[in-house]
Amino acid sequence: MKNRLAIRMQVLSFAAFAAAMPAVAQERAIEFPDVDGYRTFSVDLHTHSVFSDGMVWPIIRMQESERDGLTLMAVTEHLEYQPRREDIPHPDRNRSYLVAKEYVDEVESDVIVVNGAEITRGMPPGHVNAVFITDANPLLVRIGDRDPRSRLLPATPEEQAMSEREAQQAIEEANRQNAFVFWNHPSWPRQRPDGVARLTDMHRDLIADGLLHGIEVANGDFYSAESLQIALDNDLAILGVSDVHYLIDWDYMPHAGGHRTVTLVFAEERSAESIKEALHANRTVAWMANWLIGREDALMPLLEASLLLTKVERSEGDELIDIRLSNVSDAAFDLRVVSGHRFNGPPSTMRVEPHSDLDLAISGESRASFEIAFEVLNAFTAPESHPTLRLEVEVAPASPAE
Amino acid sequence: MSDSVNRAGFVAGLVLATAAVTPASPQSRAIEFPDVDGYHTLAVDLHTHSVFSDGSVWPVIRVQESERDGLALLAVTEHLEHQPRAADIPHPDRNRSFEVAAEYAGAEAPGVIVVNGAEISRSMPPGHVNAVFLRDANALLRADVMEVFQEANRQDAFLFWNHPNWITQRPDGVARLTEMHRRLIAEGLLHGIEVANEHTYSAEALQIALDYDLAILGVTDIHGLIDWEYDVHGGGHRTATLVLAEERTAESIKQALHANRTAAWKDHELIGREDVVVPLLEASLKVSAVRHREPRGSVVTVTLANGSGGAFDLLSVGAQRFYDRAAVVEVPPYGAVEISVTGENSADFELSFAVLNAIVAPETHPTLRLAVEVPE
Repeated sequence: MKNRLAIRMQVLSFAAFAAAMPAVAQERAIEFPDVDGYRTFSVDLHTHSVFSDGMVWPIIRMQESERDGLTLMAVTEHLEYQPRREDIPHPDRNRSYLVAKEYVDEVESDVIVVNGAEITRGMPPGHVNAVFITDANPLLVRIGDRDPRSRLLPATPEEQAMSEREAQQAIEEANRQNAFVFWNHPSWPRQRPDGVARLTDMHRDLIADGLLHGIEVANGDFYSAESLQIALDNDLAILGVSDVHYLIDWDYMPHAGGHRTVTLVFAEERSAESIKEALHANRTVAWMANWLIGREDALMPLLEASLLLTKVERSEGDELIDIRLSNVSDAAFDLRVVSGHRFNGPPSTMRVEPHSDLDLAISGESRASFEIAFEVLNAFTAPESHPTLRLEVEVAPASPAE
Repeated sequence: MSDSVNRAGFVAGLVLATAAVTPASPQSRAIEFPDVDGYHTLAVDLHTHSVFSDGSVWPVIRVQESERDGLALLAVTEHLEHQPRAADIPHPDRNRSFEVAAEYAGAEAPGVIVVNGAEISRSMPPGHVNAVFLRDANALLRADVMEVFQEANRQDAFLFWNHPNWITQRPDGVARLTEMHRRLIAEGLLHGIEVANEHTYSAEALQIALDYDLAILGVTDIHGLIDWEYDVHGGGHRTATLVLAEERTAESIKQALHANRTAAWKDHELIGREDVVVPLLEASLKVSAVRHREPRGSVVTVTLANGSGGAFDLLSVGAQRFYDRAAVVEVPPYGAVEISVTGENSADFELSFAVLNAIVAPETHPTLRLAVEVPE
């Protein structure tokens, strides 16, 4: 009698994937396959160092990014919030970027570092990052001589109005520098006590004027469904960022299978310019705590490139159809079959571990050509909406009976 | 009033909202050795750097690392003479790094004692020398190095020679005393020596410690991240000094350092005087059970339990022979091994092992003697 293992997990040789990677990076580098026509890059557009309220010298940020296999990292110190100014006067707000860039040039790092700044204001507009800037200093707009904290948390309508005027000018300046500008953690309870992201008129005007281009849907360990809806409704790029202040190793435990929150960008080439173009074109997916969040037209190609049908054959001796799903990405995929298929093995939901295979034996399927469809439960294309991955199955004719 | 509270809360929240998403258990990588007769066994690191000299982290990270590593005490020891970040961090007050670390520890990490220190960073001689338990690092900013030593000692500091085998200052990697060091020791101004610095060990430094009555020390001299320099998630540990102190206080630890009750703990090697290392081994490795292997024979099975976080490699040097091994016993951290002894007819006997990953003098391993009483 035939001994059938209806479900088999086969971990592919990790060495095959890691062989070309630097020694340190290989265990934790974020890896997703390229998609049709584009390369897939992981980027972090929101980071801090001791030059604002972070806890490390900028070179640690670059070394973390190297270990995480990022293609690009943006240095985004708070402009208006400088709690270390007593120790670090920081007169030139490009300094953190320059320290990081000097390191990148010196060690010929694979990571592209770009200059940025976090415009740090009361709501609205809240906190806004400008990345790919050429000079951070003109973004620190200060009209008049007020208590600096009135920019962080305006206490009166007059202070708020002044802060908005300054923020508007800063965002306009960033756009003059051809920056990519995005709204940070719109659901941050400090500024939205109910944790719900909501547009204000100022945001609507910024978007209408083409001055705001993206929105953080995932920041660190929190996700905002409303931010995702705002991105979809207003044609903004969907972003995931770490907003790291301490250590990536402690926040995400990459040595134990965790990963930092990042944005996957589908770009034509490995360059700052090409990645910026992709961000402006909304070719992005946020990756946070194993969730993939993005527009259907960005997410589907990634899913199709990540989960491959690598084997289809009529089982010998019976009428089951053996298929193999190969996951060539870092994500663990949680799937629910929605094409009515049943298996000699698992029930309707299953997990395909990172860089692993899942073998399934389809029961009760007599057609030689059919579609099998899975809802991808760890992926979102809109709030509460999972994409469906459809795979065409062609079964080769059975070998002649004995 | 509420307004100022809100503002303060806002400012604190900027960092807190995004701090440690899923902190690892601080204990999982902690350096742990059992207490020995009358003393607490405390792990300390007396040599660390932050952005206030040539390190790469804000001092708060040094405290958090220490907490995760289970250190009782951390000394903040920025270079006095080497300030490569001066353009960004003018650093007029050389106690600042300590103050930042101590303020954080006081509020958030009460298990870690933070003490002030400084690294006197000179060419050889004297090379680099740490002064720890300082009251005011600024007073050490003097041109004349002998005056610096005198001032640090006026502050009742504990002073030790750093990495005396450092290739930059000793191209052949061999630590050698100079006349200046002999004079400092003779005058009681130098009290310890790094035998282990990061991943380096100096047999000559150990011999100098033994010959000149200096404390034997292991330090990280950390500049980057402990998590990256040491394999803390794979069973590795930071280099540290184990101190046998009467109490878990700065004063008591300083007293123990001056009394040479120390051992260096480096890459699972324990380096110290015999009168410290042997009690530590005896407290760590104990016979936990003795039985006959089989009812019909006289083979005695001894269970050896390790109560420490260190892995120990033992080589039998006694008369016994074994039923289950030639001579080598590896005892994993917090683990236990069984050893079956053949041809032993007495009701009590002694097992003797050379502890291969412990050193009490260059090329010299201590002997661990374990009394075994065979039940009826």
